[in-house]
Amino acid sequence: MVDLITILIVNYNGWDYLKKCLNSIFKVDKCGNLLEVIIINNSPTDKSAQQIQETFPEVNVIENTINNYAKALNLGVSISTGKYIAILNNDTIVEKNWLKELLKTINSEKDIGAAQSKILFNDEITINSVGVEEVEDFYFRDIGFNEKDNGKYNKPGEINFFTGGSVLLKRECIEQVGKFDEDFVIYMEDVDYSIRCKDLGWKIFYSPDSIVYHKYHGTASSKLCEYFCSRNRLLLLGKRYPHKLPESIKTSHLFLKGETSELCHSLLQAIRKLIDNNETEISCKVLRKLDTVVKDVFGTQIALNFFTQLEVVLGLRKIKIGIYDHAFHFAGGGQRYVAKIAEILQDNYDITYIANKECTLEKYNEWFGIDLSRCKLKIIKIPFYEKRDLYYIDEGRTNHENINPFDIISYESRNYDIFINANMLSKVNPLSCESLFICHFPDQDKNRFFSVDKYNYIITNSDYTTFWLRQKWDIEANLRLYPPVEMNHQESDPKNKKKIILSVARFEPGGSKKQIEMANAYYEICRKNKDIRDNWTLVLAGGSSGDNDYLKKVALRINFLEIKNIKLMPNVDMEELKNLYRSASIFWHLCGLNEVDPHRVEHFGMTTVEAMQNYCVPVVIDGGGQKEIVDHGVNGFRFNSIEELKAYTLKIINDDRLREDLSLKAFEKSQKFSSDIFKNQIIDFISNIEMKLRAGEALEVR
Amino acid sequence: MQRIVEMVNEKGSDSERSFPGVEIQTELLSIMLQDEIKKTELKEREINELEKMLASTLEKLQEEKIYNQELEAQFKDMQMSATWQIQNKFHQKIIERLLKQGTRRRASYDQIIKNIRILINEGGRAFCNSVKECVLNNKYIPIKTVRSYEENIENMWRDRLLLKQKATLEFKATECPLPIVVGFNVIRFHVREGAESPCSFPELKNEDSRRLSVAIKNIMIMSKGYRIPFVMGNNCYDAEYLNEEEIKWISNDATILVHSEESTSAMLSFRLLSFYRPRTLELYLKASANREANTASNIRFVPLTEINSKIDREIIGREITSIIYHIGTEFF
Repeated sequence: MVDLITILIVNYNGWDYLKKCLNSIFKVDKCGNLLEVIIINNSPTDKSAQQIQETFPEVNVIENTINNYAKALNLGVSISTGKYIAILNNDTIVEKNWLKELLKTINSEKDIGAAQSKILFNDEITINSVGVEEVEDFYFRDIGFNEKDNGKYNKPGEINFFTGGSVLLKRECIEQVGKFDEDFVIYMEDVDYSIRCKDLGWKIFYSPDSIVYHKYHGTASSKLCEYFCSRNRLLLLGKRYPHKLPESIKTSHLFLKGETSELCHSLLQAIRKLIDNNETEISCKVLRKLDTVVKDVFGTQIALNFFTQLEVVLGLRKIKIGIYDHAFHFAGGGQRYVAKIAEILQDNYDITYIANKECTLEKYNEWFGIDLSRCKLKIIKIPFYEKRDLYYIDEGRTNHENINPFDIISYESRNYDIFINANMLSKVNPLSCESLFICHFPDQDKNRFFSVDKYNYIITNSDYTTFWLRQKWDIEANLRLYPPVEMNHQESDPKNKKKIILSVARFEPGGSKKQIEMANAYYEICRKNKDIRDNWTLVLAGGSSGDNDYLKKVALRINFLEIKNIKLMPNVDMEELKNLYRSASIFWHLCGLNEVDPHRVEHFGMTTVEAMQNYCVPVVIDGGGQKEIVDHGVNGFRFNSIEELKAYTLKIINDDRLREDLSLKAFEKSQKFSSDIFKNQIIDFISNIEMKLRAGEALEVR
Repeated sequence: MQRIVEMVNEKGSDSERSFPGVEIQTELLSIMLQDEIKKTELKEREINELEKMLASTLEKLQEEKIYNQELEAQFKDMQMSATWQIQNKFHQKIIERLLKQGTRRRASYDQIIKNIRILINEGGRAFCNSVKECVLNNKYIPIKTVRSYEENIENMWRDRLLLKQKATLEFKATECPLPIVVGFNVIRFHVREGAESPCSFPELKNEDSRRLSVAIKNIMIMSKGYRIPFVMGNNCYDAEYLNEEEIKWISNDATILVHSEESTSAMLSFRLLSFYRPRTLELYLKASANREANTASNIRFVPLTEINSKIDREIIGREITSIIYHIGTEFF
């Protein structure tokens, strides 16, 4: 009778090995049967799939979206049609009798569910594996590993566990036992499967004349192997031997090597397995035992975080996020940025804003139109600042203190699963399970109580900030998240623009936004060009608070220049601002000109994007975040001196076609900074943290 | 303390003859009490003196404020005057055109004007000192414009190692050849061991929380027998005096900026001292940015298989809550 035999091979970046493997498979003695070869491609980046199809068109290739070996096997099994299913590593070469001998063994008794080959290393005399055995403390090893093949393992016989390197399974057995446990990912999924086979009465046999040559760790690193073996040991204990789990922590290789965070994470997964596979009563008993062990192994703080996280792992409650903003009571760009994040996340998470001064969440609706109604607010006053009656929480004042005044916030951070430090207060040491630091610019030096390096994740607002974060604090950012910009006026039209050069920038008391320099430059342009003087206007718009001396200086300067077509428009309302953007043809941004301190250069520059969203052609400083917004000569110009500013402006003014082209491209580029992109990026980022909190496993995905 | 020890010794010899314990204790107590009283008196005196000092400083501050306001008013009047307006226009139209900002000519002009002001306002001696300082220290900095951030500040980190030098706890002369190019040159002082704060070392009894790595003094850049001007950039602290000599403490990765109108081989020399412990100083020259767009990768946390819906969440939840409570009460 002719049977169909399926051969499953999971491939990961191993075309060179796989080619040899497939060549050897097609040379085996099939004993008159038919072969169905299925390759499950786990590597998202390499071109193995294409190469396999070109070289071996008879092979069926399936793409897996996650690099999960067990999942790939299940995928292969689900589409296989063979009476027998052989599982083979991709870095193996099989002998001619490999399949014939396996078939002989598996069919020797009715209740044999699996047959295992003799796996030798590539030198053909050293044994890799003839099965798997338990050594001690629930560690498993390959039988015969590294021994010379001197005839000791030449007798067929029953073994406890097979290795997935080369095994033949009866479909009947697979159908009864079910899927490979995908939580194991890779390594020990075969041990778990063997146990399950035996539970159902299936026998596992060793077939010494079925020989396979294996390139050890051809495609998986030994570090990966060590990690998954230690992790999966805990998973197996949680699943099958729950009472042994507490005492196995201290014998875990992860514990012995001091890899605390990996141990902690694996243990959470193991407890999840424990609760998922055992009676509630047993689970509770083990949890009680774990209480003491976890405290002993990790210390009280981590133990507290561990069990708090366990609630999230088991889905017992919503994830709690604490957002700390020491400047919550001021309306600023940084506050808007974080409030936008809170607004996006508030429906899925339990969000609490932590502030130091009295303020309300409704204020954010007033200031920025951001609805934080599903968030909570907690005011924690810091005694250090209260005693001194200070309205500004300036962390620099605490450099000489013996006790960190921000410890009160650190203690508060324990109440959350994710603690977000929203406004760069560098002295708050996060004690939550996961922590996130949002950096708008690392303007402080590394002073006393500096704790930014203790955060799990860092978000920056531009590549410029990312760069300086690395240089000043020696910290790498995890995500660059540009601020969301939504300033598009519905009636903006590149063909319907007025002869206006616009600048939108705060009238900073220190003059960092360079409005005086703009007036001077414009004066210079007008002096030499009568047409511009008569027809164009420079509008200097921007916010100003209180008695602003710089604003007075700008006004004086404009008066002094005796030029009528410069308009000073402080504190315009939103509608008026939108109209200005809609009308203006050119946008100027000079912040950072002649500055050598990186802090004084615009870290991002939202107003430039706002202008671009309304088809204004940007002429901006060649520094800071502006470089990421404006592509020189493509959708605007970047200058390095006032001379260049004047030259580029004249070029745009005098060439209507160029102006229109640039304005269209400016609009196109501005879409990169839209709210939708911001929303998608932050949701994606936070959901990844959520998956980590829920004890997900870090895997390569497509 | 010495007195107490002596007393104990004296009494110790007497003790062989009488019952000394009670007497010694009484006398010890009375001495300690007197000490405490003296200390309290001293502290009170100190507080009184400090209070007086504070009051006089506040008074002075008030006077200074009034004086300041008067000066500001005078200045405003001056600005409104016709002479000022004419002078301003002259400055705008003639000086700004002939002597452009950032040129050597302009720097010389500014220096001359400054010195004339010193001569008029502060007298001949101050004028002489100013001229001397200017000539000796080559103080003016003819920087044209900061050309591009790509060429200077941001990019100094893909850099070229110029020198590796051990910094000890004593000043040590250090020299390093400096290939200067046209435009901006950024030299970075990187200290491998990093910077530390004096306040972190209790034995120093110093509350200074600045991050210090090394101190430098007598720093100069010479080329063809002339001094090349430079400016101290990031992470440099203000000059201070140590044994009557001017020194500058720097944090890690301090920079100096040199602007040159020609390419030249120069020599950077300075004296180097390390803070608290020996350190290794590395000098780097210029570089260009190594910006990274986004650090996102295709490694993601993937959820485990779905949990059995039959588990009794309530009981498990109660168990975990009680564990958290138990650990929490222990912790707090």
